[in-house]
Amino acid sequence: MSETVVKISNLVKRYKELIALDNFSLEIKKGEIFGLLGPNGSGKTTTINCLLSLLKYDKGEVQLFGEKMGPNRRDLKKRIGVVCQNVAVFDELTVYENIDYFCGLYIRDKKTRRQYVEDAIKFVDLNDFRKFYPKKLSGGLLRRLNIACGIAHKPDLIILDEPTVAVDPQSRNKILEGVIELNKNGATIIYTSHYMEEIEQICSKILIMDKGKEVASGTSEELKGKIKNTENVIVDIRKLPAEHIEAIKKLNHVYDVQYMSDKLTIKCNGGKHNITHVIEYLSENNVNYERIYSELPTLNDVFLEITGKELRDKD
Amino acid sequence: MFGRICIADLKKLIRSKTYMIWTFAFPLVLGTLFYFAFSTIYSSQKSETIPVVIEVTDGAINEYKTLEAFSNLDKDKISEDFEEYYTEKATAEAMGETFNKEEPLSEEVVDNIEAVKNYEDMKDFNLDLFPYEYLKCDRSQVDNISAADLPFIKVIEDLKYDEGTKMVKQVQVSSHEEAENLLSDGDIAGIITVDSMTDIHLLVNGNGVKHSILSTIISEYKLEVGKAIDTINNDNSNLEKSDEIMDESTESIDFIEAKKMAGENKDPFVSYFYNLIAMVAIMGAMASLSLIVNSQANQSDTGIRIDCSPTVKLIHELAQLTAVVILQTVIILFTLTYLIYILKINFGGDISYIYLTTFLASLVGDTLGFMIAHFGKLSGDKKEAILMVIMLGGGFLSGLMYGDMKMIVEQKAPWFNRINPSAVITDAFYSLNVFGVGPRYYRAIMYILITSGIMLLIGCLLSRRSSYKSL
Repeated sequence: MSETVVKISNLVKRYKELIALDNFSLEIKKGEIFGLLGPNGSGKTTTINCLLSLLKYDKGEVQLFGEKMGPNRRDLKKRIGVVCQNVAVFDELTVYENIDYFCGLYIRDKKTRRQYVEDAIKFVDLNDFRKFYPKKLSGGLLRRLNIACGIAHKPDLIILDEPTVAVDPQSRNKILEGVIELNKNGATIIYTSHYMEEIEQICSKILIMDKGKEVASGTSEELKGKIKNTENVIVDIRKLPAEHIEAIKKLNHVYDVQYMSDKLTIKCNGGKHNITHVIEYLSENNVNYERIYSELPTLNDVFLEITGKELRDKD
Repeated sequence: MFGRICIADLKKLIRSKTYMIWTFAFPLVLGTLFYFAFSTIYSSQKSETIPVVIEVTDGAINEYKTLEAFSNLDKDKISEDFEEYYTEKATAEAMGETFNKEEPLSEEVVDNIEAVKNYEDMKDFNLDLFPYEYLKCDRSQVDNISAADLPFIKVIEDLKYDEGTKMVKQVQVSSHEEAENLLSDGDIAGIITVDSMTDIHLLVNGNGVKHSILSTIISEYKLEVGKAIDTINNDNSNLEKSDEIMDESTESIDFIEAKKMAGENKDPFVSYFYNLIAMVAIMGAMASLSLIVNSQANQSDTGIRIDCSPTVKLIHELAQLTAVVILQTVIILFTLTYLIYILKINFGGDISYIYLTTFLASLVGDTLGFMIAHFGKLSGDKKEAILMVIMLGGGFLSGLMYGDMKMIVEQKAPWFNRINPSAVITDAFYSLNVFGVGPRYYRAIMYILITSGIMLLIGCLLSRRSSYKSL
């Protein structure tokens, strides 16, 4: 049985009347990429801050590497790397100096530190920008610098708190590839995000939270297996009379139909040829459509089905 | 780790345009503007005679009369007369004749004269019992002694600036009330009361350079008279030439400090440059505040990163403070050097002490920012606002914008000048400049060190917070 790296038990954190974490618990095993997924304000960052002992909490316990975490546990802090939600670097220091500054908070030996800084620069591919000041970097490069500052000291546990916010797709992919590589190199990762695609793509275990509580947890497949929805058939249709919607609802395996903004979403539970049945119905009834396709359920569907609301705000 | 953080923070400060403009460039520009603004006034300025009223008491005149009388007492003649008297008396008794001649001096007078062993005895001597017939000089020379003959008055009358202008001018008044009125109207700088050779008091209405000059003249005079009295007391035979010793000592006083003060520091605008230095010193608070706030998890994202690390928070912050102290010291010493050697501003006093004071002054600013940075849950902006209020308000109350303000505060709430960082710094410069290296300067330096120490301690105690209620 693999070692438990993080264990949070019955954590309660209140901000006056607001309960940010409500008896929240989680367990992360060594080598996992643990995705913490939830809408804005669900308690992801509060969880991370309590885990790091930056925040005082009202109840519960946090254990890291089998030991109780506290603000003065420097031995445990040494083993953690943090990549903050906002870019946390000094504008007056260059890329190299920033990484060296933060790495130096963990690594005293100059020679080792120099090597680690070089490794980090190489890892985030910022070698051409090592003498640049942060203000001269693009948003994506800045995010990569932010990551390098958090992981340069080669920690055992890396916490990435929404590291891809406001990043272009190319940089996002680079960051995600980097996270997987860090994990391959032995680090346990906690990855918080409200981008479900990222979580699905890289996380070996996912915990969905809302209002400071766990909504569901497991692998991506396990989570999807917990809901009714197995397939979504989507049809782009300009105009669809209401009687057709009611008729489609009666097709085999269909349990819900929504028609919004010229888009018909047909939710199915089981069945192998759902899209064929829909095409047949539309053809038989001379309903013109532009496009039809099928999608497997996403984590958003999981969240939607469990909580009755969308996981992320519509962009 | 300490050194590495310190060096990195030095880099951060040097590369911060805002910091360098406000703490480095701005004071140089302001100093240069002051210089050009005041230079026309400097050129028209001449040494100013200080008007005073000097009130000499009868006791002081009698003291000098006694001194004069004893100095002219012909003791040899007394001895000779007594010798002759006793010879004649012995001869008459041997011959069995009646001897009716009176003793040259009564037993009481002789006892009184012999009882005078030192200056204090002489001072308290009752002149009614003095044998004026044994004076070497004419009695009128003693009787006619007036206030004008007193060594202190002669010294005051003779005291001149290097270019020859009289330093102190006596204003004649008919009563003490009139003198007090002149003083309150500002027509005279002070009332000097001479109660005795060593008991001289100064009454002033204010605390400017003129008052300091008068105070220094009196101090230097008293010091020399004290030495003369010691000389007289150390050797009984010196009593006979006490007026000589006294005159010599008082005439030889060169009033170095008073002249230096009057000659070198007659510039009333130099206080604006002290305040400029004080302002630069206080500006260090902005740097320490900014660095510390950026390493606090509830204030900045970099603070979160630092707080997550295993580094001891206090060591980290002290390294940052050290960086500020180093850079502020360099900046403030550069500014001072610019003022002294390029603009030729005469700060007076010993240059090395001015540099030392400047260095210590910068500590006040640095620790002020360090302390405010740790003020509770306030946001960085609010902390900056508090600092600005302290800097600008303190600067105003220490006389940066209105020269007499510090004096007004001293009269109304002297305690505030002890805790106002700007006032503490300017007072150290003022003390050094006006009174030189002495008790007042050391007291001012002590205030600087105590103020800095307390602010540092408060900051250190507040930095012990281990985690936050909210971020």
